[in-house]
Amino acid sequence: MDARLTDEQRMLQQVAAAIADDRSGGWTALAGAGLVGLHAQAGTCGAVAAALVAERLATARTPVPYVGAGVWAPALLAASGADEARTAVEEGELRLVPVLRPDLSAPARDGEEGVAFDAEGADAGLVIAADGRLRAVALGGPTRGADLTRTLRRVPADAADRDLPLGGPLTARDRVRTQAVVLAVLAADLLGTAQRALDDAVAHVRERRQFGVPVGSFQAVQHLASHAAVLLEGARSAMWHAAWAATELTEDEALLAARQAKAACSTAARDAAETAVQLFGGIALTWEHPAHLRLRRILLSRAVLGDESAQYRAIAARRLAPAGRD
Amino acid sequence: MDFRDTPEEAAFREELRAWLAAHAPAGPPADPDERAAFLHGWHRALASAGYTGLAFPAEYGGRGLAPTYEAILNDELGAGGHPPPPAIGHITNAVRIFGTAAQKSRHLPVMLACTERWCQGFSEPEAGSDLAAVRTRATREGDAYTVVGHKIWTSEALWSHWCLLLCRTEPGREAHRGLSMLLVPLDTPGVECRPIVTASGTREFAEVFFDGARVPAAHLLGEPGQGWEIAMRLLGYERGPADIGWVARLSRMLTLLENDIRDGSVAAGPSAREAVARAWVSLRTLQLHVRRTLSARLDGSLPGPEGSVDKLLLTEADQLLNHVVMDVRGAAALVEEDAALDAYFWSRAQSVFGGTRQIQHDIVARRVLGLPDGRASR
Repeated sequence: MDARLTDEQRMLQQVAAAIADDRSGGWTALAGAGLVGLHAQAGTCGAVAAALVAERLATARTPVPYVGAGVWAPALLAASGADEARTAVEEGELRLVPVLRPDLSAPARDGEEGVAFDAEGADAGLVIAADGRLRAVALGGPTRGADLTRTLRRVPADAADRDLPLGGPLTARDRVRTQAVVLAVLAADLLGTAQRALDDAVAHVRERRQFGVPVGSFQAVQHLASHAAVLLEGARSAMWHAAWAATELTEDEALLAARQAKAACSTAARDAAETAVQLFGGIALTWEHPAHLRLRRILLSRAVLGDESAQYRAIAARRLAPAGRD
Repeated sequence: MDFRDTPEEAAFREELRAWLAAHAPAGPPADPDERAAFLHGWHRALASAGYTGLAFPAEYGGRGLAPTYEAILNDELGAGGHPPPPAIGHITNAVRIFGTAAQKSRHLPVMLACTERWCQGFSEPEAGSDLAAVRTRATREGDAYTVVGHKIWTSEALWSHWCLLLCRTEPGREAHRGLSMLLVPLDTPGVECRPIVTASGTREFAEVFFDGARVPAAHLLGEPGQGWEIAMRLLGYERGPADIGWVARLSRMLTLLENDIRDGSVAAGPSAREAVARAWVSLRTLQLHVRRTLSARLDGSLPGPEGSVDKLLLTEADQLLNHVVMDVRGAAALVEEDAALDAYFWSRAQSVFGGTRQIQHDIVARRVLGLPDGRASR
């Protein structure tokens, strides 16, 4: 048992941070660095790699659709064996994104209305048909989404087919495995967004002076910041474990670990980002300041595949099943 | 990164499970004094089977294993619903790090065997959160110190053989710079323990009075004036939830509640089930964080101020879990007072002992987040 990041994982964080900080490269740079579809390429601990990249991109508030187009869709394509489409996606030539139910709680049902997640620059949406096969659908117009760093697009119930070879049917296990990977990566996105919000706010209260002293010298302020930092550190431990479990444990265990981390990160991230708003004061709720942009991103990531309450319900169903039924 | 057991860890886990299946005791007795004696017996049994001092060198009675084995021990005890391991990680590590060769070989084997029990004499009536205000004085006279003072909240003092005493030895040196650490046999003439009965009826706490007790100078731990450094190092371990068995204690409580819900002996509707899952998420976060903390020690590094993060996560998990247990189990513990109420009171103490929640937040804010110390500027 060794829960430390490896040297390679640390190096990957640096690569992702460099790409995130260089706004000129965007999707081409991500694909060129081999970060699109990374979880399926990277072999052992592939989801850890994808999660660390998602965390860094979220930290920099980079408007690239990494979770949806860089992780989720490639994971579906890898599971279905759609090698041609997957290669095109990994090389940055084709951009596919998942279609969710309108409440974002789960993948859309084929033939029902949906919302494409992380759809910036997407060529088509992916839905799972009744026979388990992937189907590419044309996307409708963008919603007026709360998160300004990511694009949502409507998918009508009668969305037109986009003719793409998308491999064979996904098994139930494929779907659970994909769900575990995506939940872990969403947890990382939440964590990266919230960590940066808190770091900025802590830097602010170190400098901001009132009553002749830095406001960060007041215990009331310190304890708000500390509480948020503690939640985030615990959530980070959960996220690392879930990302590791997503490829290394059975589907059932991987999903439980992923739900645990998504719940922990959803709670911690909203709390930390709200704390950051409090520490900055009124400016954080205006267009003069980015704090509310981070909060908006967190609110969306919480909702995708279910917020902490949804995870608690699913966890209870799994762990508290009557003896013998499990 | 690999959260999986190594083959050696898996073998250890199997061996531990087999041992527990054969040796685990029935539930603890209700009477607080009988419960203490029961736990001491359990700790000696664990020790004689080799389940204490896992990361300690074999020459001191340990197993010489990696720190991560402490997580396995805590997980297995907790998941099996067994009583927790002895809370000795903090005191044993203080002696390991600061003791002389003679002190280590005298004390560590019997500490790890749980045949000699220790308490820590830190808090005083006028030195609680402000620990550096300790007044208990030890005056060097020839080959011995003469100790005069009054300690309070000394856990396990009534049942201990030795006290790790934080005391003032260096006249003229202020606050924390004037403190040293003495190893004091509690049967020394001039030492008296008086129990403080807790809200749940245990005599775990005591006041310890020192009235001219003479302690050989050879019982000084570390250098004169090094007491504060030793205390801080020790607290780094005491705040580690696996070092003192808290993870095992909490997972046992959750395991027992979940078992009762699964077999239907406790009725739990949707909101109760959601609350139980929330408590599990919190406790699981703590367990995973502890694995990360213990992994960070694999290269030999010692606990730092980040230990306060662990203590605060522990406090959150403990207090949430106990609310959930009390709420889901309903009025039973109020109609016939039982162990659930005891555990609930302990969860409230969690944010007081070992440094209050507020002290832990002070440490995180100043030493981890780098915020300025307001006490200095005002």
